[in-house]
Amino acid sequence: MKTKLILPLAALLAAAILLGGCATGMTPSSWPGMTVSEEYVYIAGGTNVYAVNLQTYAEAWRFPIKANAFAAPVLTKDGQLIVGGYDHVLYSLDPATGTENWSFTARDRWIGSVLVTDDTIYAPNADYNLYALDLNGQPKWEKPFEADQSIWGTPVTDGQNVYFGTLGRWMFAVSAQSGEEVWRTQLNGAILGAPVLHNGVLYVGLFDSALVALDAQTGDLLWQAPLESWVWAGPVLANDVLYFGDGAGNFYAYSLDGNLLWKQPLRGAIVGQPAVTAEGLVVATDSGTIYYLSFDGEVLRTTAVAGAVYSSVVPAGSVFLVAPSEGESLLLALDQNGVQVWTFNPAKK
Amino acid sequence: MWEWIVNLFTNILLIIYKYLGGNFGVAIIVFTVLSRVVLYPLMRNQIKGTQAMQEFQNSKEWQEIQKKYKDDKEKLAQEQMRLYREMGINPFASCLPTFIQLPILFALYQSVVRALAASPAQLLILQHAVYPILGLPDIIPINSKFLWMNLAQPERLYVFGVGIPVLAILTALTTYLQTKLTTPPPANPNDQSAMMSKTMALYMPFFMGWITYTLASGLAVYIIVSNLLGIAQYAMMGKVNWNVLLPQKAGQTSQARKK
Repeated sequence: MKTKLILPLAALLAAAILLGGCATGMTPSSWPGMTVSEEYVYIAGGTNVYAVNLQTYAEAWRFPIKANAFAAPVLTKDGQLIVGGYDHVLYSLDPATGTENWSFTARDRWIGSVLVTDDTIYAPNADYNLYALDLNGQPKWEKPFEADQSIWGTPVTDGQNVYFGTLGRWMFAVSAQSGEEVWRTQLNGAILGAPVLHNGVLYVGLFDSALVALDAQTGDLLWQAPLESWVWAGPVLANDVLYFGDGAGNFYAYSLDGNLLWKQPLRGAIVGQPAVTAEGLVVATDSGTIYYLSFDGEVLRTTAVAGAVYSSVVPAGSVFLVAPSEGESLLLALDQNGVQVWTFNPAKK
Repeated sequence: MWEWIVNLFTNILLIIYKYLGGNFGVAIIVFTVLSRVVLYPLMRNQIKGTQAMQEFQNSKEWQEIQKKYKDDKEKLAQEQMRLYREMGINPFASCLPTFIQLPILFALYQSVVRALAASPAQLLILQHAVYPILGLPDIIPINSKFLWMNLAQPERLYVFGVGIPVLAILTALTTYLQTKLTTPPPANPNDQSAMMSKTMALYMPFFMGWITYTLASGLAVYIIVSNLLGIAQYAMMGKVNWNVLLPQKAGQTSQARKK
């Protein structure tokens, strides 16, 4: 009897393992997000949030997340580190020790980073809601603002309103105080990244291969620049110029009135934001190439790293931090010449 | 090859989604119907194979051989293969379609998760997988809501705060029904293959219920619709044994399928 049971049970077990394998292989994922303080770089890179000491390059602490965490952690002025996970939980941690202060649970994943002001945390969630919390994790609005679709990008604020885009192609402005809708504007493509707000104008990259400018007061479209491919992360503003890359590997510089200043084709799709330095820009692509560009778009030097780079390049003192996906290290520090200064590989525990 | 299949399924799902009202639940149902139609010739062979196997089990010659070589398993196996050849039976004909269903199930699961692109990495993978003619930016975001479900997540219907896994229950129920209604009664219930079928029939509903309890509900929609279509196809061919659903008197056996 036993042997007669073994075969079918083994078949079911094999099928379960195969499907389980499928499920594991398809675990919702992203790429590491990081932020830097004077002492540490905080990196959300999978099932842990790590604090790495910038002097010793050693792990200071790690905080385990049940599912995964990829949104760049954000520091508050009162000394908290806010990071959201794919376990639907938004955590407040002590930046020095990694101990948990409080947590807030939503209905879906925290994909975008939060926006922190002096007294409020504006937290976008994939459950379509924008939550406003005080610095103790208590809701500030009567109810969260429910948008039309998931919110993946970090909001921006001018103190009066909070602005953000959704995967459903809508750009929203809501009152920072009450969470009431001020305006909404439908665009042609999903909005995956954060907008830039400057002098009353919002600059937004679209998945529908365009950069658009909107009036922050009314939501009216001011201008639209068609591009070769999708824009993932929002543009970066420096010296009154908008810098960003697209899925075809083009890196652009646009003036604030929508004129193309220059375009530099690079190898590999550009997903993250560039780092801006006194000398120029540092751009990473999914080919694993790091480009150092001048403000005129000239390629000054390149360096290759193992793995694809989707994360934004983050400056930390005299080095640039790069977090490759599927590479040999979770974190790489490159100097101004593209030389690898140090790496961080979390020890297995 | 596997990636190619998953990408093909993903694109078929998205084409149906794009041109049939932007409802991913409907896309999964239409895809299930299409896959059943494509696999129909295999299923027909499976029914024929099962019938032939049943005739083989009932044949006097096989029963005599079993008696004759009951103490010589090697000889029994040789005689069994000889009889298969003589009667033109392919012993694998009845299980091949089942094995073909499994990779489809795995590929469909990956396709559903891939198409719904619920995370940045999945959206990146999707934009590489989607055929340019589909125009991914035009259909993003994929609406993952269907009835009360989010097709990218395991399903629960909340009643008074309690999450009831309706689809997992329906999956287990329809799997049990399909097996019960479409499996012919064995000639010899103590035969090894009959015991194996009985064990599978017992555990399969729990297994299917469990995977739909834990995985994205889009997969459950596929399994439930596939089970119901399977029963309907058997019914249209007059091969469903409805009597098994009726309470039976002592000593009565369901013989409807033996006609």
